[in-house]
Amino acid sequence: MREPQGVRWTLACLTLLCLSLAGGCSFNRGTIGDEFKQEDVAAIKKGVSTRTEVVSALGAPDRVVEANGHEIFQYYRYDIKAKGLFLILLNFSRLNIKSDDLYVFLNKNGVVDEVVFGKRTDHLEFQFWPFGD
Amino acid sequence: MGDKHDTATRQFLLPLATCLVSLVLSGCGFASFTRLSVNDPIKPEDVTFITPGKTTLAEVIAKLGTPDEVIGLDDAGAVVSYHFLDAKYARINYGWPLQFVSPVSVDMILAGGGLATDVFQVAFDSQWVARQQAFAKHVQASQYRLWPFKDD
Repeated sequence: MREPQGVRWTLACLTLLCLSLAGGCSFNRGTIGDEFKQEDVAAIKKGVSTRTEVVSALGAPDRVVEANGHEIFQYYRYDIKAKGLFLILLNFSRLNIKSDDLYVFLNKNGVVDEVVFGKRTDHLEFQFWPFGD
Repeated sequence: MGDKHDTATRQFLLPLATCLVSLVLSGCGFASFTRLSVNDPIKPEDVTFITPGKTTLAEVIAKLGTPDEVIGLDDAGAVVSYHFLDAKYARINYGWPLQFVSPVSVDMILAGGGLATDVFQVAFDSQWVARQQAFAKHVQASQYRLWPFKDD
C-alpha cells in the first residue's frame, strides 16, 4: 500500500528532528588495580601454597586482616564504565563501578586454608539511561 | 601494605568517579540526568536465606558473592561487609533557551540529587557461622531532585 504524501513528509521531518537533536555520545573507562590473572589465582592451592608463594604470585595484598585465627589477604580491583548521550535539549549519562575481590585465608602455619574469588566486573556494562534499576 | 594503602585507594575512588561524572557532564544542554552506581544493590529479600546460628560464610559468599570487606573482631568472630552506592543527579538550565534570543548567555540552573550509600553486614562467630545481619543504611536518599528547595 502506498503511503500518503503527508505521512512521508511527517516521517522525514521527524527523522530530521531526531538527527538535529543527536548531539553526540561519549564512552569513558577507568580501572584501579591490575586485573587478576586466572592462572595466578589457580596456582594458589589450598593446604599447599604458603604465604611467600601467594605474595610471589599476586604481589603484596591490598589489605591484611586477622580474623578467627586466620590471616586474610585481600586483593581488589575496580573497573569503571561510563556512557553519555548528549542531545541538544537533554543529556543522559550513567557511570557504573564494580569490583573484583580475592581473599586468601592463611592458617597459623602460613599455609592457605581457603581462596575466595569474586568477579563482578564481568557484568559491568556501558549504559547511558539513568532511570530504572 | 594493608590498611593505609586500602584507605588511600578507596579515597581515590570517589574523586576519580567525580572527575568521570564531570567529564560525562561536560556537554550540558537544557537538562541533564546522571547516575552513579557502585556494585549491584542487595535487597532485603536477597538475604532472607541467612539464618543466625546456621548459615556459613561459604553459603553467604555462594549467594551474595565475595564481600568488599572483612573485619576481625577482638572477641573471636568477624564481620563481612558488602558496599553498594546509588547516586542520582539532575540539572536543568532554565536560562539555556534564552541563548536564542539574548546576545549574552544567561544561566539559571536548578540542580539536585541524592547519594545513597548502603552496607550490608553479616557478623560471624569463630566457626564462620552467621550470628547477626543488618543493613547499615538505606538507599532511599538516591533520587533526582528537580526542585532543590524542598526539604525532604
